[in-house]
Parts: sequence; structure tokens; C-alpha cells
Amino acid sequence: MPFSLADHLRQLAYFEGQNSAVLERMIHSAVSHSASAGETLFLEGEQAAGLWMIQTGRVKIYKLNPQGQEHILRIFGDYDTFNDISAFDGGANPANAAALSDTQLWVFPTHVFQECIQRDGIFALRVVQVLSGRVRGLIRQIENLTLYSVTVRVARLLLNQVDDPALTGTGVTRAALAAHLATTPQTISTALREIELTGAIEFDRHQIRILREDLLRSIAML
Amino acid sequence: MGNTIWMPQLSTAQCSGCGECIANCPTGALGWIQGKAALLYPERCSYCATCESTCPTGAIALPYVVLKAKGE
Ligand code: SF4
Ligand code: SF4
Repeated sequence: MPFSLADHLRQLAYFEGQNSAVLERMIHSAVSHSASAGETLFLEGEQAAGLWMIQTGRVKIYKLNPQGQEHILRIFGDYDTFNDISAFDGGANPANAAALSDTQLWVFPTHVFQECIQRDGIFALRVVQVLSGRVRGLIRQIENLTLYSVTVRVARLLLNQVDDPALTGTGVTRAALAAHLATTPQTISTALREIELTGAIEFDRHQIRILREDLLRSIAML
Repeated sequence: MGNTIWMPQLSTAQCSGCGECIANCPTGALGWIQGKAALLYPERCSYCATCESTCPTGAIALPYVVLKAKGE
């Protein structure tokens, strides 16, 4: 079946139930773009071109630390859109993007998006809804990231504690652990419970027994 | 019983008397002594750490030890 941009767009949350005027304006302004694996699509800080949509392929969104180390924030695939925020506020790209595989993309220019928002209240509302969903997703992601790293750190601490009696016993409480790991006792409890569920440790009143050190080591990423 | 080290430790100085721990303790081990939370029924305590997690002032602490299970 030949590719139809209109059919493709209708599957995006932004255009669900939209009138054809908005859709047509978008299709008319869309710029097609091909990228081969490894090719940079845009750089952080550059003026954003607009909203990107992947027809087929994989794209990574990443940041570089001062040492040039790459940290991948997200990976997107078929039908995903990215760089939404800068497409709407007309600002700079918040991160870098590069193709992970040979990728076929479309770019919808910022000014066309803004024009449609101004003209069409229903579309504007849809945009707000989609963006709200993204914000919620990001909040969840931050929670997971925090929890994930705490779990790893708690696992490491447990392994240190079992080898060093000075690190365990009275005065060593979840609260102390939390302060050490710069988090809250609730988060520590959640992390401990998560580790317990894997079967690596077991609680017995004041004792935390390491049942499978190999597993705990892998949770600790050691 | 006897070993009170391995029990929730409550600091009267830090307790604000909000009652959160008493309300949330699943075993009813906590109660009031002169407007402050106290471990009234230590034998009921299941060491679940709910009180430690819910106390907003950090007045409750549950010490623990980490051990290797036999055979590990
Ligand atoms: S929750 Fe904390 S501050 Fe409130 S009564 Fe219990 S121990 Fe005191
Ligand atoms: S550890 Fe659990 S059972 Fe024990 S006093 Fe606290 S909330 Fe109650």
C-alpha cells in the first residue's frame, strides 16, 4: 500500500477527530526528510524547525555532558512525534537528535502549527491535552529514574553493610540510610520492597537477610 | 522479649504529637503517653516500618542489621 501522509497523521493524538482544514494545512506544509543511520537531525540550542514525525525508523534524543559523554533521554520509533515543545513555543531545541537507523521523517514547521492553534480552538485544546499527557509521562519518568537509581544505591549499601559490621546495627535506620542516599525513608522502603520482590533479600523483623548475593550484585549493577 | 534495641525507637523530643504513626500502625502497637506517641504494646509490633515512613518529623527510627542467609 502506498504511503499516505493523511492516514498517517490521523493516527497521531494531535489530529484525532480534527477537521480536514487543519489536516490539509499540515499536509501542505510538511517537509519530507530522510536520514541514514547515525546522521544528526538537529543540535541542542539551534532554532527548532518544527514538529518532527517518524514515518519509519528509530531516532534517539540525547544530551552530551561536558566530557562529551552521551546520555540518551528517549528513543522514538514509527509514528512518534518529537521536539513538540520547541515546535509550539518557537524556541531552541532542548536536546540533540540523531537517527539510529535509516529513517524516513516529516517536519511540520512551527509557524504552521501556531497558525492552526490560533485559528482552531478544538485543535488548540487537543494540543493542550497531548502536551499535558507528555508532562505527566515526564513526571512518571522522573519518579522511575529516581527510584531506579535509589534501588541501585540501596543494593550497593546492603552489600557494603554485610561486609562491614560498622555500617549496620543500632542507629542504622532507614532514616539514616535515606539521609546518606539523599532521599526519603519512604523511597528507601519502596526500594527495599522492590529488592525483596526479586528474591534477593528477605525481611525478618530487624534483620535484612541476603538470600542471593549474586542477584543483589546484579541489582547493584556490580 | 527483652531486647528493646530491636524495636521502633521513638524520640519524645522530636515528636510533634500529630498522631500519624498511631493512626497508621496496622497492629495497634502505638499509643499516647502525655501527648506524645509511644510504643505501648511492643509485642504487637510487626516491624513493618510504616510508622517510620509516615512520621513527618523523623521521630521514629527502626534499626536493622544486614546478614547473609546461611548457605550464602
Ligand atoms: S507521627 Fe511522628 S510526630 Fe506524629 S505522633 Fe507519631 S512520632 Fe510523633
Ligand atoms: S513498625 Fe509497624 S507495627 Fe511496629 S509500631 Fe511501627 S507501624 Fe506499628
